[in-house]
Amino acid sequence: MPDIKLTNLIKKFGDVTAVDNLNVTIPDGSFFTLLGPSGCGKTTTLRMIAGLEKPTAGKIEIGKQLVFDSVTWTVVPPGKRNVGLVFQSYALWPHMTVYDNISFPLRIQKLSRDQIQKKVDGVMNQVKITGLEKRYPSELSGGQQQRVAVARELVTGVEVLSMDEPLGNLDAQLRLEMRTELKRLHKATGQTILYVTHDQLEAMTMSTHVAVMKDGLLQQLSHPDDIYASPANTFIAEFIGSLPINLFNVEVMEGIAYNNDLKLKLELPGKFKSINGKAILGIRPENLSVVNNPTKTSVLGSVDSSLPAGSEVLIKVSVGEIGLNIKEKRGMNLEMDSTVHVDLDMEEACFFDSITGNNLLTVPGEQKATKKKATAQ
Amino acid sequence: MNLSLKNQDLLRESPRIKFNKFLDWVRTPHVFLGLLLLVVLAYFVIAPFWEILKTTFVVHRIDVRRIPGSQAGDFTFFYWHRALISEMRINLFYKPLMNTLVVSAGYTALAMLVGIILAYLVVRTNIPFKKFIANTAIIPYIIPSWPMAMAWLTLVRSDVGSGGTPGIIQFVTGIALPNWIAYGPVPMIIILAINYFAYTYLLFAAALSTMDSQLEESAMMYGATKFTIFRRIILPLMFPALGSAFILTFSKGLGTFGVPAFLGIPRRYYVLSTILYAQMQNQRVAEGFVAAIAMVVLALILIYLNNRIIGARKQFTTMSGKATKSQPIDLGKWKNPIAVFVILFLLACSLLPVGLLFYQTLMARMGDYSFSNFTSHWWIGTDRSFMEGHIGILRNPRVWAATWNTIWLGLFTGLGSAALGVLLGYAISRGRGTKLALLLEQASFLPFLIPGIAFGGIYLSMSASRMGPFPPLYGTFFLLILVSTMKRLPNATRSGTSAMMQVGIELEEAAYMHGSSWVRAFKTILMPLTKSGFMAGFILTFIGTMKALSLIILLYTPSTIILPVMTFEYANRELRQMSDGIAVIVVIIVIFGTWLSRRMTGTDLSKGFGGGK
Repeated sequence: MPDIKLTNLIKKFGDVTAVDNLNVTIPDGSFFTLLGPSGCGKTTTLRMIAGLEKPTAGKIEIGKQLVFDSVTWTVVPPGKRNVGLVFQSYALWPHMTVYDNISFPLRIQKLSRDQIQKKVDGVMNQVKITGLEKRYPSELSGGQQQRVAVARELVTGVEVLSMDEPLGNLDAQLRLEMRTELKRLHKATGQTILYVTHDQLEAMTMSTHVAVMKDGLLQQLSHPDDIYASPANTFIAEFIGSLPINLFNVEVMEGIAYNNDLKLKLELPGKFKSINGKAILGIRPENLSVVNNPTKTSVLGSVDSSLPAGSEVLIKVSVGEIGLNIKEKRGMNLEMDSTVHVDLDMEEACFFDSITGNNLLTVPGEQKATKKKATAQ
Repeated sequence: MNLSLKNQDLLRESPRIKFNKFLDWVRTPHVFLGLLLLVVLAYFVIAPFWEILKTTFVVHRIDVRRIPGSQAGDFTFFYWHRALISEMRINLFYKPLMNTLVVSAGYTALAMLVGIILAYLVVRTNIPFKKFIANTAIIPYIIPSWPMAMAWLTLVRSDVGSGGTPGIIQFVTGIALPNWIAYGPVPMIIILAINYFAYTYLLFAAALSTMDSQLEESAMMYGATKFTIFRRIILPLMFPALGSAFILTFSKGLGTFGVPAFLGIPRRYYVLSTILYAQMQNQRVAEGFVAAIAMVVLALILIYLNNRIIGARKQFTTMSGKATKSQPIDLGKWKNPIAVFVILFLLACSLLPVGLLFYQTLMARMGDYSFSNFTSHWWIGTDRSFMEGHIGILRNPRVWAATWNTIWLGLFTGLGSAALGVLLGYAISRGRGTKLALLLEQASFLPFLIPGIAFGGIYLSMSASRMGPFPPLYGTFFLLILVSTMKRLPNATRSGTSAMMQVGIELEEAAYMHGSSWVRAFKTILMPLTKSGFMAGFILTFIGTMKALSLIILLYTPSTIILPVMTFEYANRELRQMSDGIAVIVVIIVIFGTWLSRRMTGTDLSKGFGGGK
C-alpha cells in the first residue's frame, strides 16, 4: 500500500490562492487529518488528491503511481486513482436503493451478478447495515446514510479512503458513536484514511497524524498529542483545544517571566532557559489551578465567574486587564468577586515569539518525529 | 518572501502546458457541451437576431427599382427612412406603434384591476367558494386568446356598415351594436385583459398572503375604514408585486398576434405585430422587420424596468417571510351576491367563449341562431353540396391531418426543447460564474425578445437557403419543429437550469470517483433526477405549441398546416363554423394537456407559477 506524496502543490481560483505550495507525505496506513478553519484549503487539497480538482501547479503521487504532474501535464482521472471519497453530504443517489448505491462501483467494473452480491453483502455486514438493501436514502437516518456512503467506498477495496467532514451532518450523540466506529474501521482495514474536518476534537480523537492548515499554508504536521502540547504557533494554540488557551505577554529575564501590569513573576523550569526578552506565554486551562497560598508560579486575581459543568468547573479569574480560563475538578465552588491565588503549571506552558507568534522552542520547519514517520519539508 | 518567488517559478508554464490545460478545459463535460450548444445557438438564435437587423439595412432584390442607382445587397437607410421619416411613416410605423401602446396600456390596466380585486377577495375576505374561484380564475389564462376573440365576434358582431353577419346579441335583441365594440382597440383590450388577469391575480395573491396582517390590524385599531386600509396600507406595500405583474402582463401581450389579427385586420386597425404580418405578406420583409425591431426595443425597455423594480423590491422589509394567518374581512350581507357575481364573471371568461364557439358550429347558416337552424353537418356531415364542398370537421381528412401535425409538432417541440433545456441547464448550472455559462444563458434568452411572427419571418427567409448543416428547409415539417423549439428555448432553458441546480454536483462527482464516464453519470444519475423537471418542461412546451399561431403563420404549407393556423385560414375565408369548430378542438387539447400535466407533475398553477417567461 502506498504513501501519498504531494510536492509543491498550488491551487489558485482566479486570484485567490486556495492551497499555497504544499509539501506533505501522507504515510501508508495512517489516519491522516487535514484540520483548519473553513477556507483554509483542506477540502481543496482532498479534492485534488481524489482527482476532482486539478492543481494549478505541483505533483501528486499515490504510491508508485504519478496521478498528477503539472510539468508533464499528467492527469489520472478520479476513477483510476484507487481513492474513495465520502462526501460531506454523503452524495447518495436518492433515486437508487441502498443496494444499487453500493453496487454502482462494481457495476462500472462489470463484475458478475454473484460477485456483486457477495461483495455488497460483505461490506454491508462490515458497516452494520445488513437488511437495509431495499431502502431508499431518504428512508434512512443520518447515521445509516453515512454508513451506506462508507460502504459504497469500501466495496471496491480502495487503498485510500478519503472523507470530507463526514460527521458534520450528524447530531452530537451519533458523532461520538461514529468516531469510535471510524477508528475501529481504520484498525480493521488498515487502509490509509484521509480525513478533512474543521472540528479539532474529531481530529484529536481519531487521527494518527494531524496537518493544520490556514490560508492555504501548512501550519503544523504532527501527532495530535504533540500539536496539543506544543503548538507551532499561536494560531494553532488557539484553534486546538475545547477551551480557549490562555495567552498573554511576558518579558523573560534570567529564567523568570515578568508582567508588571499583572504584577506577575513566574519562575520558569529549565527547559525554557534559552528564552529571553519579550514573548507570549500560552498555558491551557487545565494547567491552571486555584490554590490557597501563593507559590513561585502563582498570580493573584478576582473571580469573575464560576460555572459548574458536571464533571468539571470552569472558572474565569481576572488578573488586571486579562481574564484567565481555568478548568477545575467538580466540587469547587468559588464566591464571585472573591480574591484567589491561581497557580500556573509552567512545565506545560509554551512560549511564542511576540511578533511572529511562532513557538520559540520548535525551530520553524522542523517537525518532531511521531509514532509513525511523518514528514513535511 | 522567497516563498512567493518560488511560487512564481512553479506557476510558470510552457506553451505546451498551456495547450494541454486548454485541451483539458475543453474536455470538461460542461465546457464541451457548452461550446457545442453555443454553436447551435449561434446558428439558430444569434444568427436570426443578427439577420433581422441586417435585413433592414440592405437593399432587397425586389426593391432595386424603388431605390434609384442601387443594387441588391447595398447598404441603405431606405427602409428606416421609409418607416420613420417618409410620408408613409404614420401608417407604416407610428400608428401601429401608438395602437400597440394604447392597447397594451389598456388591457394591462384592466387586467390588473380585475386581478387585484379577485386576489383580495380570495385571500382576505370570507367570500364563499374560495377554492372554486381560485381554480376557475386560472382557466382564461390556459385557454389560447384567439378563440376568445372569435367567440367575442360571435357574440357582438353586427351587420351595420360593412354588412357582416349578425352576432347572437343582435339576433336575440335586434340591437345592432356599433362596430367599435366588435373590432378595434376596445374588444382587444377586453379580450387580452381576460386572458392575462391571471398574472396579477397570482402575483398579488401570493404577496398578499405573505403580508404581515398586523400592519393592517394596527391601522384598524386607529379606526381606519376597510377602503382606507386597502388604499393607504395594502396597495403601497404591494407595489413591488404589482410592478412585477405590470411588466409581465404588458410584455406578454406586446407581441401577441392572434387577437389583434382577428379583431383588427378586418377593419384595418393595425398594431406592430399585425403590421409586421401584413408587410411580410406583401413581400416587404425589411419594413416588417423595422416593426419587429421596435417590438424588441420595447421588450428590452420592459426588462430594464423589471430589473429596476425587482431591485427595489429587495428593500422591502415590512413583509415577514412567514405567512401570518389574518382574520378574514367580513363581507357581511354582500358575501353571497359578490360570490355569485364573481363566479358568473369567471364563467363568462372561461365556459362562455368555448360554449359560444361550439354553439356557432351547430348553425347551418351564419347569423341565424334559432333552433331551426341547427345542424350537425359541420361536425359529422358528409354532404359536399352543402357548403363550399366541405364535409364535417370530424370526417375531414385535412382537419385530421392538421390535428396530427399539431400533436406531432407539440411532441417533437416538447422533446426537443426539453432536451436542449436540460443540456443547456447542465452547461449553465455547472459553469455558473464563467463567461461561457453567461453567454449561453443570454443567448438562449434572445428568442424571448423576438416576437413570434418576426421569428417565423426570419426563419422563412433563412429556410430558403442552406441553414448550417441543413439543406433548404422551406416547406418541411422539420422547419416548424426547429422554429418552435428555438422559440421555446428561453422557457426550456430556465426550467432546465433550475432542475439541474437542484442536483448537487457531488452526486455527479461520486459517480466519477467510481470510474463512471460523463455519459454514464448523465444517464444513470442526472437524467433520473431531473426527470420531473424534464416532464414539466415538455408538457408546458406541448401546450404552448398548441396555442402558437404567430410563429407558424408565415411558415406553413398545405401539408404542414397545424390547427391554430387552420382556424385563422378558415376565418379569413369567412367559414366561421369550420374555424370555430377547430378552435374548440384546440381548446379541448390544451385543457386536457394542462390537466394531465397537473396530474403527472403535481404542479398547481393556482399556487403560483415560475414567472411565466
